[in-house]
Amino acid sequence: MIDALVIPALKGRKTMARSGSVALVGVGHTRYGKLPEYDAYDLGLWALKEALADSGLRFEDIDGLIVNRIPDYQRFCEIAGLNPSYVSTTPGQGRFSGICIETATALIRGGLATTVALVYGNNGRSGGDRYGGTGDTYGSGGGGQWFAYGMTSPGAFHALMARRHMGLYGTTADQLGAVAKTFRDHAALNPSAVMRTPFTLADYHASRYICEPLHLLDYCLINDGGVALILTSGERACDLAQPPVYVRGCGMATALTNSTFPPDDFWREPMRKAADTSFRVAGASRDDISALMIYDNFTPTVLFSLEGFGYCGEGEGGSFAAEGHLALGARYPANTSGGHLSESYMQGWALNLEAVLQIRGKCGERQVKDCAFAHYMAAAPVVTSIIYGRDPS
Amino acid sequence: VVAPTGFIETWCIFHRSYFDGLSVPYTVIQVRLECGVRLFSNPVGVEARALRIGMPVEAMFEDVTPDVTLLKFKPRKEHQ
Repeated sequence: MIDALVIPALKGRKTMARSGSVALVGVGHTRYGKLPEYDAYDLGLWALKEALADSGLRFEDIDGLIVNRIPDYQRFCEIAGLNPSYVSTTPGQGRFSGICIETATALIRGGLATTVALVYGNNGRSGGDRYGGTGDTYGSGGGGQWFAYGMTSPGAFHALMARRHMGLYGTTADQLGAVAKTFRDHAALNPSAVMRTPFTLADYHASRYICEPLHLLDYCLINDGGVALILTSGERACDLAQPPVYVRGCGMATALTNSTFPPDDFWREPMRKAADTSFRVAGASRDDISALMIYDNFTPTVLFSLEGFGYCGEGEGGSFAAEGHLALGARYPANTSGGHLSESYMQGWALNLEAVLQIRGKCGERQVKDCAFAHYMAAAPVVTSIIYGRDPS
Repeated sequence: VVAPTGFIETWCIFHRSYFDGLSVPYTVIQVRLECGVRLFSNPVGVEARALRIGMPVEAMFEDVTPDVTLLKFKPRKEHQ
C-alpha cells in the first residue's frame, strides 16, 4: 500500500533535484598515451577545458578546486586564471580520486563551494616515473627498510596478496587472466583506450612475469594523460548542458595501521564498511547496480574488490570473474572502458568518468543497457565507494 | 626475547630487476613470527616451487657482504 502511494509521487519528481543532492555535470579528458610535450599542469588544464565545454560552465564559475598528481595548486591557478574560494593539492596516489570526489561532494553540501573542479594530470610515462627500486615510496614509504631483501613496488605488494589468495582459496592464474582479457575486450570498443588489441588466455600466460605470480598483463598501463570532473549542487545541475549524474552515496574507510604489509583480510573489512555506508546513503542495493568501475591497478585487486564490496562471497572473486559476470552483456559489466589495465592509467579518474558516460548513455558500442546506477570502488589502505545514479533520489 | 620461529604467510618471485646488486629471479617471503611480528625476507635452503603458505621457518643470519648481515629464514623441521 505504501509503495503504491510513494512511487508515483517520486516518479513525478524525477527531474527535480532533492535538496542537498550533488551531481557530476562536466567531464573531460586528454588523449591518452605518450605525450612528452605536456607536463602535468598542461594535461590538467587540457582536461579542465574539455570538462568546462562539456558542462557549459566557464572558468569563473569554478569556486572550488582540488588538483591531484599536479604538483602545486597555486601554479595551476596561475596558469588557469582561477581564484577559487576553496583550493587543495592531493598526492598522486590512486586512492585519492575517490577521496577527492567524496570531498567535493562534502564541500558542496557544506556550502564551502558551489561548483568544484577536480583536476588530474599525469605525465608519469614521459616523466620516467618508476614504481620500484630505491625511489619507491609506495603507500607510506615505510617499505624502504626492506629494499635489502629486494622487496619493492606496488606490483610485488599485490603479487604477495595474489599468491596468498591462491593458497587460501584456490584462485588460479587463469582467473586473473580472465580479468585482464575481459577488460581488454572492453577497451577494444573504446576509441580512447591505449591498448585495444584483444588477446587470448594463452597470450596472457605467454606474457612475461614481472613479479610472479603476476604477469605483465596483470599490471596497469603507465601512460600520460589528464582527467577533469566538475561537480555542483543538484539544483544548479539541472540548468547545465548535460543531464546530471548524481553522486547518490559515498563511503570511505581506512586500514592504515601496519599497512607496509598486505592486509590479512585483503581489505575486506574497510570495503564492507565503505560499501555499507554508500549503499545506505544512496538508498540503493547491489541489485540496482548496472555497471561496476573497479580500481584495477593489478588484476587481483579486482577479485578482492568483488569480495569486499559484496558482489560475491569470500574467496569467490576468481570464479566470479572467470564465469564471465564482468563482461559487457553480463550481469555486472565492469571497467567498460578497459580500466587501468587497458584504457589508461588515470588512477581511478577515468573510471569515474566512465561511470558518468555510462549513466548518460554515451558509451557507443560499449554502452550498458539502461544504466541507472554505477558503482565505483577502490580497494587500498584508503577504501572508497561511490554510487552514481541517473535520478536524484 | 623473541623466538626466531614463525611461518611463511606468502611469497613472490621477482623477475624484473629493481636493484643493481640483486640478480633476478629472486624470491621474497612474508614471514610472521610466532610473537606476531611480520617481516619481509628471503628464503634460504628451499626452492621457490617448494614454498607453501604456513610453512614453518626459523631465522638465521646471512653475511651478504663483509659489512652487511641480513636476517633470513630457512625451513624448520617440525618435532618428529
